[in-house]
Amino acid sequence: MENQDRLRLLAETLVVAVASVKDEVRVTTRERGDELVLHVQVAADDMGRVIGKKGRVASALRTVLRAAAGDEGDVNIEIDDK
Amino acid sequence: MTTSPHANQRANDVLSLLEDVLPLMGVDARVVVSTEADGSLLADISSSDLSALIGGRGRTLNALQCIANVAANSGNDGDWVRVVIDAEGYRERRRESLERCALKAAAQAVEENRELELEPMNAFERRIVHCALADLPDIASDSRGEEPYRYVVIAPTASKE
Repeated sequence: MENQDRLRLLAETLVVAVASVKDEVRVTTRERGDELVLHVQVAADDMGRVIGKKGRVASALRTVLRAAAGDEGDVNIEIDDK
Repeated sequence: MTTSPHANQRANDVLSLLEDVLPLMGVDARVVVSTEADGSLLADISSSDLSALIGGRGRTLNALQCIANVAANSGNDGDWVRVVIDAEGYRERRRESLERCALKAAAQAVEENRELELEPMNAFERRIVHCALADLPDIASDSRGEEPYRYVVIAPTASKE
Protein backbone atom coordinates (compact mmCIF):
# COMPACT_ATOMS: atom_id res chain seq x y z
CA MET A 1 0.00 0.00 0.00
CA GLU A 2 2.75 2.37 1.02
CA ASN A 3 4.62 1.32 -2.08
CA GLN A 4 1.64 2.18 -4.29
CA ASP A 5 1.53 5.67 -2.81
CA ARG A 6 5.23 6.15 -3.46
CA LEU A 7 4.94 5.04 -7.11
CA ARG A 8 1.83 7.17 -7.64
CA LEU A 9 3.63 10.22 -6.27
CA LEU A 10 6.68 9.44 -8.42
CA ALA A 11 4.53 9.22 -11.57
CA GLU A 12 2.75 12.45 -10.64
CA THR A 13 6.04 14.30 -10.02
CA LEU A 14 7.46 13.18 -13.39
CA VAL A 15 4.32 13.95 -15.38
CA VAL A 16 3.82 17.36 -13.74
CA ALA A 17 7.41 18.22 -14.70
CA VAL A 18 6.79 17.26 -18.34
CA ALA A 19 3.29 18.76 -18.72
CA SER A 20 2.67 22.41 -19.49
CA VAL A 21 -0.78 22.51 -17.85
CA LYS A 22 0.46 21.28 -14.51
CA ASP A 23 -2.71 21.59 -12.43
CA GLU A 24 -4.60 19.28 -14.78
CA VAL A 25 -2.36 16.30 -14.08
CA ARG A 26 -4.10 13.49 -12.14
CA VAL A 27 -2.64 10.08 -11.35
CA THR A 28 -4.77 7.28 -9.90
CA THR A 29 -3.85 3.68 -9.19
CA ARG A 30 -5.57 0.34 -9.60
CA GLU A 31 -4.47 -3.26 -9.44
CA ARG A 32 -4.81 -5.57 -12.39
CA GLY A 33 -3.79 -9.04 -11.23
CA ASP A 34 -0.21 -8.73 -9.96
CA GLU A 35 0.30 -5.51 -11.86
CA LEU A 36 -0.04 -1.97 -10.54
CA VAL A 37 -1.62 0.27 -13.14
CA LEU A 38 -0.99 4.02 -12.87
CA HIS A 39 -3.66 5.90 -14.74
CA VAL A 40 -2.37 9.31 -15.84
CA GLN A 41 -4.71 12.07 -16.98
CA VAL A 42 -3.38 15.24 -18.60
CA ALA A 43 -4.80 18.19 -20.53
CA ALA A 44 -5.49 17.36 -24.19
CA ASP A 45 -2.74 19.80 -25.25
CA ASP A 46 -0.21 17.87 -23.20
CA MET A 47 -0.86 14.41 -24.68
CA GLY A 48 1.88 14.79 -27.30
CA ARG A 49 4.38 16.02 -24.75
CA VAL A 50 3.70 13.27 -22.20
CA ILE A 51 3.68 10.46 -24.78
CA GLY A 52 6.47 11.90 -26.93
CA LYS A 53 7.62 11.11 -30.46
CA LYS A 54 7.13 7.39 -31.09
CA GLY A 55 6.09 7.02 -27.44
CA ARG A 56 9.58 7.85 -26.24
CA VAL A 57 8.53 9.84 -23.16
CA ALA A 58 5.84 7.34 -22.15
CA SER A 59 8.40 4.58 -22.44
CA ALA A 60 10.91 6.56 -20.33
CA LEU A 61 8.22 7.06 -17.66
CA ARG A 62 7.56 3.31 -17.64
CA THR A 63 11.31 2.56 -17.36
CA VAL A 64 11.75 4.88 -14.36
CA LEU A 65 8.64 3.52 -12.61
CA ARG A 66 9.74 -0.08 -13.14
CA ALA A 67 13.21 0.71 -11.80
CA ALA A 68 11.56 2.35 -8.77
CA ALA A 69 9.28 -0.66 -8.19
CA GLY A 70 12.30 -2.99 -8.27
CA ASP A 71 11.23 -6.56 -7.61
CA GLU A 72 8.03 -5.50 -5.87
CA GLY A 73 5.89 -6.41 -8.89
CA ASP A 74 5.15 -5.03 -12.30
CA VAL A 75 4.04 -1.46 -12.97
CA ASN A 76 2.38 -0.06 -16.04
CA ILE A 77 1.05 3.34 -17.01
CA GLU A 78 -1.93 4.40 -19.08
CA ILE A 79 -2.12 7.95 -20.39
CA ASP A 80 -5.40 9.70 -21.24
CA ASP A 81 -6.61 13.19 -21.90
CA LYS A 82 -9.55 14.60 -20.00
CA MET B 1 30.96 33.12 -19.89
CA THR B 2 27.64 34.61 -18.94
CA THR B 3 24.62 32.59 -17.93
CA SER B 4 21.20 34.09 -18.41
CA PRO B 5 18.73 34.15 -15.48
CA HIS B 6 16.64 32.01 -17.78
CA ALA B 7 19.30 29.27 -17.85
CA ASN B 8 19.68 29.49 -14.07
CA GLN B 9 15.94 29.01 -13.64
CA ARG B 10 16.06 25.88 -15.77
CA ALA B 11 19.10 24.57 -13.87
CA ASN B 12 17.13 25.00 -10.65
CA ASP B 13 14.13 23.24 -12.17
CA VAL B 14 16.26 20.25 -13.19
CA LEU B 15 17.87 20.16 -9.73
CA SER B 16 14.56 20.22 -7.88
CA LEU B 17 13.03 17.63 -10.23
CA LEU B 18 15.87 15.19 -9.52
CA GLU B 19 15.85 15.97 -5.80
CA ASP B 20 12.13 15.10 -5.73
CA VAL B 21 12.34 12.06 -7.98
CA LEU B 22 15.44 10.18 -6.76
CA PRO B 23 14.20 9.60 -3.17
CA LEU B 24 10.86 8.39 -4.58
CA MET B 25 12.85 5.90 -6.68
CA GLY B 26 14.45 4.68 -3.46
CA VAL B 27 17.83 6.06 -4.52
CA ASP B 28 19.88 7.91 -1.94
CA ALA B 29 21.68 10.55 -3.99
CA ARG B 30 23.27 13.97 -4.17
CA VAL B 31 22.81 16.13 -7.27
CA VAL B 32 24.88 19.03 -8.65
CA VAL B 33 23.68 20.90 -11.75
CA SER B 34 26.06 23.05 -13.80
CA THR B 35 25.93 24.87 -17.12
CA GLU B 36 28.39 23.58 -19.71
CA ALA B 37 30.36 25.75 -22.19
CA ASP B 38 27.92 24.82 -25.00
CA GLY B 39 24.94 25.99 -22.91
CA SER B 40 23.69 22.51 -22.02
CA LEU B 41 22.89 21.61 -18.43
CA LEU B 42 24.85 18.84 -16.73
CA ALA B 43 23.22 17.14 -13.76
CA ASP B 44 25.82 15.04 -11.95
CA ILE B 45 24.45 12.50 -9.49
CA SER B 46 26.47 10.75 -6.80
CA SER B 47 24.89 7.83 -5.04
CA SER B 48 25.72 4.78 -2.97
CA ASP B 49 23.36 2.82 -5.20
CA LEU B 50 24.74 3.53 -8.68
CA SER B 51 23.65 0.33 -10.43
CA ALA B 52 19.96 0.86 -9.56
CA LEU B 53 20.20 4.45 -10.75
CA ILE B 54 21.96 3.68 -14.05
CA GLY B 55 20.23 0.42 -15.01
CA GLY B 56 21.43 -2.03 -17.66
CA ARG B 57 23.33 -0.21 -20.45
CA GLY B 58 22.26 3.10 -18.92
CA ARG B 59 18.56 2.39 -19.42
CA THR B 60 17.27 4.07 -16.25
CA LEU B 61 19.68 7.01 -16.44
CA ASN B 62 18.74 7.58 -20.10
CA ALA B 63 15.03 7.45 -19.25
CA LEU B 64 15.54 10.08 -16.53
CA GLN B 65 17.53 12.18 -18.99
CA CYS B 66 14.77 11.95 -21.61
CA ILE B 67 12.17 13.11 -19.06
CA ALA B 68 14.42 15.90 -17.74
CA ASN B 69 14.93 17.17 -21.31
CA VAL B 70 11.20 17.39 -22.00
CA ALA B 71 10.61 18.92 -18.55
CA ALA B 72 13.29 21.59 -19.01
CA ASN B 73 11.77 22.52 -22.37
CA SER B 74 8.05 22.26 -21.57
CA GLY B 75 7.63 26.02 -21.24
CA ASN B 76 7.21 26.67 -24.98
CA ASP B 77 9.60 29.63 -24.96
CA GLY B 78 11.63 28.73 -27.99
CA ASP B 79 15.26 28.16 -27.05
CA TRP B 80 15.93 24.48 -26.56
CA VAL B 81 18.31 23.54 -23.77
CA ARG B 82 19.91 20.10 -23.67
CA VAL B 83 20.08 18.29 -20.33
CA VAL B 84 22.71 15.62 -19.73
CA ILE B 85 22.39 13.44 -16.63
CA ASP B 86 25.56 11.74 -15.46
CA ALA B 87 26.39 9.57 -12.47
CA GLU B 88 29.96 9.42 -11.18
CA GLY B 89 31.63 9.41 -14.60
CA TYR B 90 29.25 6.87 -16.18
CA ARG B 91 28.92 8.76 -19.49
CA GLU B 92 32.70 8.85 -19.96
CA ARG B 93 33.09 5.16 -19.09
CA ARG B 94 30.27 4.28 -21.48
CA ARG B 95 31.85 6.42 -24.22
CA GLU B 96 35.21 4.64 -23.79
CA SER B 97 33.50 1.27 -23.90
CA LEU B 98 31.53 2.19 -27.06
CA GLU B 99 34.71 3.45 -28.73
CA ARG B 100 36.56 0.23 -27.88
CA CYS B 101 33.66 -1.82 -29.18
CA ALA B 102 33.51 0.25 -32.40
CA LEU B 103 37.24 -0.11 -33.12
CA LYS B 104 37.13 -3.84 -32.42
CA ALA B 105 34.16 -4.30 -34.76
CA ALA B 106 35.91 -2.18 -37.43
CA ALA B 107 39.03 -4.37 -37.24
CA GLN B 108 36.84 -7.46 -37.57
CA ALA B 109 34.92 -6.00 -40.53
CA VAL B 110 38.20 -5.34 -42.38
CA GLU B 111 39.68 -8.70 -41.41
CA GLU B 112 36.62 -10.65 -42.57
CA ASN B 113 35.80 -8.21 -45.39
CA ARG B 114 32.12 -8.01 -44.50
CA GLU B 115 29.54 -5.69 -42.90
CA LEU B 116 28.97 -5.90 -39.16
CA GLU B 117 25.82 -4.77 -37.35
CA LEU B 118 26.14 -3.44 -33.81
CA GLU B 119 23.39 -3.73 -31.19
CA PRO B 120 20.65 -1.06 -31.22
CA MET B 121 21.67 2.24 -29.59
CA ASN B 122 20.16 5.67 -29.06
CA ALA B 123 21.20 8.60 -31.29
CA PHE B 124 23.73 9.89 -28.75
CA GLU B 125 25.55 6.56 -28.56
CA ARG B 126 25.42 5.99 -32.34
CA ARG B 127 27.08 9.36 -32.79
CA ILE B 128 29.93 8.30 -30.48
CA VAL B 129 30.44 5.20 -32.64
CA HIS B 130 30.36 7.17 -35.93
CA CYS B 131 32.86 9.69 -34.54
CA ALA B 132 35.19 6.94 -33.29
CA LEU B 133 35.32 5.49 -36.81
CA ALA B 134 35.37 8.74 -38.79
CA ASP B 135 39.18 8.83 -39.11
CA LEU B 136 39.59 5.23 -40.27
CA PRO B 137 40.29 5.35 -44.04
CA ASP B 138 39.12 1.81 -44.83
CA ILE B 139 35.84 1.85 -42.88
CA ALA B 140 32.40 3.41 -43.47
CA SER B 141 29.67 3.50 -40.85
CA ASP B 142 25.97 4.07 -41.30
CA SER B 143 22.78 3.78 -39.21
CA ARG B 144 19.86 1.54 -40.16
CA GLY B 145 16.49 0.49 -38.79
CA GLU B 146 13.81 2.40 -36.93
CA GLU B 147 14.00 3.90 -33.43
CA PRO B 148 14.30 2.62 -30.77
CA TYR B 149 16.02 -0.31 -32.51
CA ARG B 150 18.18 1.78 -34.86
CA TYR B 151 21.71 0.38 -35.06
CA VAL B 152 25.11 1.14 -36.58
CA VAL B 153 26.43 -0.85 -39.54
CA ILE B 154 30.19 -0.95 -40.04
CA ALA B 155 31.51 -1.85 -43.50
CA PRO B 156 34.96 -2.04 -45.09
CA THR B 157 35.00 0.57 -47.88
CA ALA B 158 37.10 -1.58 -50.25
CA SER B 159 34.34 -4.21 -50.51
CA LYS B 160 31.95 -1.66 -52.02
CA GLU B 161 33.98 -1.31 -55.20
